[in-house]
Amino acid sequence: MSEVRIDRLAKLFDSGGVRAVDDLSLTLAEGQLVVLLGPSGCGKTTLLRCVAGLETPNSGTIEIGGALMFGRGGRTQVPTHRRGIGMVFQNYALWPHMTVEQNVAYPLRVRGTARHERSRQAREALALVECEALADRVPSAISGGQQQRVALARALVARPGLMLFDEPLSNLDYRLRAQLRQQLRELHRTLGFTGLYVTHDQTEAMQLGTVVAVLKDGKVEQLAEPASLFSRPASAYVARFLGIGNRLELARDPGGLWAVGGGDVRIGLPAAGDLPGDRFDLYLRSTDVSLAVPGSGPDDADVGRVPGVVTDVVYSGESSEWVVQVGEARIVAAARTGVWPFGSGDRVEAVFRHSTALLYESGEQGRLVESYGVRPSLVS
Amino acid sequence: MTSTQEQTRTPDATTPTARPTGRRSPTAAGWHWALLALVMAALILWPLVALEARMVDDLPGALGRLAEVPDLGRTYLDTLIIAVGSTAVAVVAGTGLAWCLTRVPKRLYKAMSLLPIVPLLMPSVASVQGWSYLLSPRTGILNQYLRGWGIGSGDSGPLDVYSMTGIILMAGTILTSFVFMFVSASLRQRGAELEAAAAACGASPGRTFLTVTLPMMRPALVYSTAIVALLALGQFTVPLLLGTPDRIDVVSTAVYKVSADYPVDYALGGALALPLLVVGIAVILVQRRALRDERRYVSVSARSRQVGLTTSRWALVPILGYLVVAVVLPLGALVSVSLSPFWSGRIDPSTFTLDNWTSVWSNSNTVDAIVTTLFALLLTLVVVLPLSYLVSVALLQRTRVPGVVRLPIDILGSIALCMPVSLLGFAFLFTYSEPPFQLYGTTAMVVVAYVTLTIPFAVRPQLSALTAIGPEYSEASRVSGAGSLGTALRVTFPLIRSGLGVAAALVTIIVAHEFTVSLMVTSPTRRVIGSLLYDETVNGSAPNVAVLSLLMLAVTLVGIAISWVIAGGNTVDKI
Repeated sequence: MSEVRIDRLAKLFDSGGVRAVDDLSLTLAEGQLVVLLGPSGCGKTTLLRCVAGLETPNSGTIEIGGALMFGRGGRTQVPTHRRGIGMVFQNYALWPHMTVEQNVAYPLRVRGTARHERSRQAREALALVECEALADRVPSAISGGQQQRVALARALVARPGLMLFDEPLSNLDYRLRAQLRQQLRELHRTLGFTGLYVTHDQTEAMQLGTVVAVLKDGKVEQLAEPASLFSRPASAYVARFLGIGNRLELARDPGGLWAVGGGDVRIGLPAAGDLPGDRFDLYLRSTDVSLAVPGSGPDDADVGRVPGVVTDVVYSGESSEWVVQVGEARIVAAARTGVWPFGSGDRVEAVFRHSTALLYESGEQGRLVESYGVRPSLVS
Repeated sequence: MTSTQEQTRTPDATTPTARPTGRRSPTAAGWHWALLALVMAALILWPLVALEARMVDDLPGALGRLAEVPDLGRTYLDTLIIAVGSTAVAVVAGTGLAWCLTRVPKRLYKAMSLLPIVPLLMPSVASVQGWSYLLSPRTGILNQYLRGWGIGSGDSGPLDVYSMTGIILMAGTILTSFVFMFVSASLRQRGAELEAAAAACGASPGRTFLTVTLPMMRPALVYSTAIVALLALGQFTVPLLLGTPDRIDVVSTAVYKVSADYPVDYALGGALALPLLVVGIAVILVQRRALRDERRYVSVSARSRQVGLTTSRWALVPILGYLVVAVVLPLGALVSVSLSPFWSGRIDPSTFTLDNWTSVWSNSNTVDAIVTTLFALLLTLVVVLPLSYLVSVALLQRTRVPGVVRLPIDILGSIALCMPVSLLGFAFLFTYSEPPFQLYGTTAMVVVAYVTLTIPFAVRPQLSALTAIGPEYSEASRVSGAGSLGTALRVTFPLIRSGLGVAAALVTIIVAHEFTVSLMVTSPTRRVIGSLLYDETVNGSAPNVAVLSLLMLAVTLVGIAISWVIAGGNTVDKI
């Protein structure tokens, strides 16, 4: 297993018109599984393919296990097959003309392992992913989930220094995805491989990543452990991408309060005096919003409340979402079905805690206001 | 944003599992592709350029001798008439057959979709010979029947295959299969849902045809018309075999006659064929322009079923009729003539004998020609399949080939399609019989010529197979640690096996049927079946010619059977 260093890497497409990877640096410590998270077109797959040697970057360096794979202005380029990597593809890419065992044994075969030994190791790798029984089948005769497990075994079998995952679960259905995610977690814990994992699914990123790198326009927007990433997204972009959808536009009011969404509603912000500006966006997770009859509910310095009208209740089985119109803005509150007795047309107060809310500079690119939201007692 | 992370721990020991060898600079990647482009240019471009250069060297003399060629204007005019006429016949008949196929009852569809391309297996020499036995004015079998029924009078006619009409219809019949293939493929790709949708919107069948079907077919029609017109301009076999009695000459036959004189007046031949060269180049340019923005090699992933269309058994009539005209009748005539002791125009089964077959077999000329043909075919396959595989890989969008290298490869890869075969044959004769090659009379010369002719046909099936399998399979092999050669042998070849089989089948058909180039590049001491057959037509007996025509067909079928095995059993379906 090995450390991976990516330094100031750039990859341009269309003769420089598109900077798919833009001066990006990233280091993977040994044994880390780094998840590259971002919407399509953010450059995460291109970055992965550059590391694999399937794309040629325009500049920068890539080192795997201390050996230079790409660098010196492009004069050093180790071809893909000499990089000592394993890769799992989105569409599995199992060769249809080989049996499952032949597929898995292939990396050993090209490395010149003896027939008997490679069969043993291939079956061992298949056992790791619980697919031993499929060894003699052909890929087209097994299910999608099994195919992806086999592809995983193929990538692991030669114990590569670096594992690459290109959205490996996105072709599977919801249940299988959850199951395989768990299996991958366990495999990573047991084998301790260094890995780079591309996905656009935040749940996958949170569950699998030792570290998550959110990418935007070919650059790393935020790099953090899953828990701190989710609790304190560094920018409005990251917050939105993580599904934090409730946004209240705030404008400073001469009275020291803040006008919500340009309407009549005013709220106070703790530590407002220190805020470096007059316009901010307040982001609230839907699970952090609760609903109360106007005038009731908790009341202390940490509590914020805005009045509104329920416009819809979206039933989704175990949980439900209440859609509340607050002036021009909409707030969604999610909770277990039946927790609140409100229906369409009811006047309510949306209640949240400043300690769990996130405040960003106004606009799409706004950065997190660090001084807001973390209760003094929580700051160590 | 440059980001460093706090979580990074320094590894205790770094184990370099990767082998950082094989360093190369990115610019070097283009070089071996440039080499490929050079090989292609040497094969295809050089003979043509060398020939025209010879003409330019001797320009006044060549033009003077060109002016002295008897009936020169007539030759060019006849070339044009035959090209336009046979193209019209082929486009109308081919489109009609393709349309009929969409109306065929569903359970017969698969079989019927194959029938119109069966004539491609029939060597055109064989069809022409067959029809000359059926419709020669005096001894033609059909003519004798017609006279017997009181149609026509005297001992000649009423129909004459040795005429302008005969040539146009014959050439048109042979070319119909090509038009059918292109148009039918395009109809099948779009499916019948679009027509059904027009009907659902209230359009009558006629209106649907005019507003939906015809516009949909237009790209395929334009493309196939262009290809077929080029083939018709370069038509050689039909005018050579049918034009002699009426002294109908076309450019190709005139060029051939120049090549048959000794010493060969290369400058004159080059000048004669120059107009065809110009037209060919023009077509390449126009085609590239027209197709620039289209994705040319889109593979058909899902074939739409023919839903909501009225079907009818009557649709079978034209399809079966075409098969009868193009294959059954000429084949029947060839078989009966080959079994008759001499050719009188009457089929008399009581006199049938295998003497012609045994005498042809015992003739060392024939055996030599068959061996040479098969040997040349084998060598051609050995050279052309790897070469065309490399060309296909270079043409794939996903292969990183510098644009300045890919474009020449692309053009060179298809140039042989657009050049009249007689001109190519003449250029090969010039290039390879002169120093430094001096290959005249060797199998090598035949092979070089065949390789050049067949490259475009070997590229296309492989290219579409490669496009269809996508990049992931070979990428997966490379990340597994296999190099380019290992990946090609263990992953790519097995996956494009059917494409390879189709390529092999097409190469086989072209080589086995080859007549034009063979006549020019073979010597009396080293003949292939095609050139032997022509010698027999001029000097020998009709039954021997019939036997040789059937042997040509047999070689084709053997070759197809072999490629069937290569492809794993579905070649004919995919051609």
